[in-house]
Amino acid sequence: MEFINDIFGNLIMGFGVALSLENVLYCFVGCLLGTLVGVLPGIGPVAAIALLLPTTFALPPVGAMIMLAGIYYGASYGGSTTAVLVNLPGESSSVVTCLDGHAMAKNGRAGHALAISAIGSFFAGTVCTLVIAFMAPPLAEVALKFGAPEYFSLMTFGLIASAVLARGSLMKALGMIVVGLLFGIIGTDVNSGMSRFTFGLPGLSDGIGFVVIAMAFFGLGEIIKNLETPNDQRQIFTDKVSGLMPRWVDVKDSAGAIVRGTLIGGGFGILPGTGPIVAAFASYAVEKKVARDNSQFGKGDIRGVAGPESANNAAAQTAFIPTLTLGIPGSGTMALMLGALMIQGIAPGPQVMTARPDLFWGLIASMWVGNLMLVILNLPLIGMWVQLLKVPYRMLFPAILLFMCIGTYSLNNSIQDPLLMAFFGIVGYAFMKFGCEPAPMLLGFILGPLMEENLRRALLISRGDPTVFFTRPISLAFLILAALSLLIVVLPAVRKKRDEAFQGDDGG
Amino acid sequence: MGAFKFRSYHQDFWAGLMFLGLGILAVYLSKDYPLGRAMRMGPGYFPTYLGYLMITVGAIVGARSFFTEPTDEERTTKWALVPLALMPASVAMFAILIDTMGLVIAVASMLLLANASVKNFRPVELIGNFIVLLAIAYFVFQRGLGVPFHTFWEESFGKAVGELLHLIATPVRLMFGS
Repeated sequence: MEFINDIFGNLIMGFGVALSLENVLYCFVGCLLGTLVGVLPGIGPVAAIALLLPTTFALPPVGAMIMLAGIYYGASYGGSTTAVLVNLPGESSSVVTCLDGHAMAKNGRAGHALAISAIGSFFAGTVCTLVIAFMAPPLAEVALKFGAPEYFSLMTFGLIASAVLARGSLMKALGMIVVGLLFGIIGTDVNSGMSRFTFGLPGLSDGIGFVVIAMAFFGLGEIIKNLETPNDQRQIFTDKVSGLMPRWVDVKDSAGAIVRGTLIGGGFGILPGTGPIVAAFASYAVEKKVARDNSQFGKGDIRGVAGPESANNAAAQTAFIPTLTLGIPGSGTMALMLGALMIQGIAPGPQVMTARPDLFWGLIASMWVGNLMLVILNLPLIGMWVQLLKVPYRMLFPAILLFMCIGTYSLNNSIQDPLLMAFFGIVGYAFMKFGCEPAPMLLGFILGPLMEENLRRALLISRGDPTVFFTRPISLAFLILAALSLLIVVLPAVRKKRDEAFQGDDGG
Repeated sequence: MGAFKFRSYHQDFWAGLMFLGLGILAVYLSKDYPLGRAMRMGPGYFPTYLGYLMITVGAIVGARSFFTEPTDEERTTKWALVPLALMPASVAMFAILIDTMGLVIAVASMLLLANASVKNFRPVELIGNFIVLLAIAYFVFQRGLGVPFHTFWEESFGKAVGELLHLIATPVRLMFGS
């Protein structure tokens, strides 16, 4: 009981932080901006967060993280709005929502789809806020006992898991991780003070900012890709958005799907390396199996919207658990959040909870506030987002381009960052053309320096003996998990299922 | 399994080549950094072994293209060369002009260059976009968030216009409290 009392005491303290006028305002602005950018077709949450990240630099750490969390939820929610109204998901986790959501919009039920997605997301968000509050402290306690070998193995597991669950070729995903690790080396080595991979450019001595890399691969590269095809003939259902108040029948029909989606998403979100995408796909598959009559799936079944949307949001939420307690991000978006934490001068890891309880619990409480805000904000504002969707892409992309320029410039008030972004945008486009997903690269990029440091420390302690990773039980467990997840994918039967699950997913 | 054949239309061929190139570059660059020993890793240790790993992955990915026919998804598609040149160029244009010529010129040049990738030239739309974006860049970023842009190139001319804009911007500035 002591433990539960502690949790609620902490939650109340968290709400005290989150509900201060200032922080509610940050949360509100974050949700609003996040949705605004997330709604724009062709911009995923990674690009949206990278784009909006510089606006939080001036804020105090707690405010900045709360605003970022708001941006994160807003961007995810905006993505599903776009998925329902335009058959063009802004993010890959909305791909599933597209299937039935867009079909519902075609039948004139866009309002119902949006409403149930809001309700499902809110339910999932509420449950998962509690899950985080209960799971994070014991996990952080365990993590505090981790030494360098455990961290190194955990990161290895996280990176491999992200490759296993990435779309497309496993080998190429692994390759992209190594590319990210290599990019992460650029800069001055902390131990020897030696400049590495800087090509003699003094500007590279601090390394490349993760915002620059994220904007280059997810923003600039994506714009070039979108311009390949003139997509002004998008089909938008803008005049038929009515019935935003959910009907009781819909709620009753989708209650089961929402609960199942929340469970599935919550579970997947905790695993390092798995994003909301997998959760959404899994939930859709389950709903199709569970349904007594599944003939309507793909043609506008409300359960096909409710389940994946709940799972999507649940996973987005529980993804904070490994990020906050272990300092290991599970997805590209979480990698950005982690980077933002570092910019605020906070070393991510289990000590955050004890060293900065206001930040930790304030953030958790603000997650719930953010979810509530999205429901309140989005149902009435949907008309505005619809107007935004009418803006043609030829007018949107110069705006995105300009904001990326300003955003990268403002990182160090130097023109070097936008120039680097231009260069890496070309690199990112090339990788995209060769079927390489950028998300594992971003994870590798953020984790690279941490991995090197932990490898160095682990080998220092063990006097250069690499068996240290296998003799320490927790470290061994992570490595076995990593090996297992690799093995599972290589098995032909699972491989086929994985390919099926990703079918129809056109990235983004 | 297809026959052993050179397939330049297979994405994996090029992906493998890129990985391979990066790996070789990493190993080559790292040869100047002391390797150290496992117990006391030098700055060259991690990058060198990563480079070898990269080469291995690149070889495996690339080798696959010699043995399998690509699926539809794995087939190389045409590159959008015009946007590929114009988008980074317009970003670079902005970067080059912003410190010397000021925000107005930089935004205008960037937009013109980016817009060149759009098929039909729509001057009214472009000017409208320019005005809206410039206003956002100026009021929100330069004035509101304090990004240190020059508005115009010449100090004296810029100063006069700048002061005028400053006057107009006062309410916005007060709102953001800076």
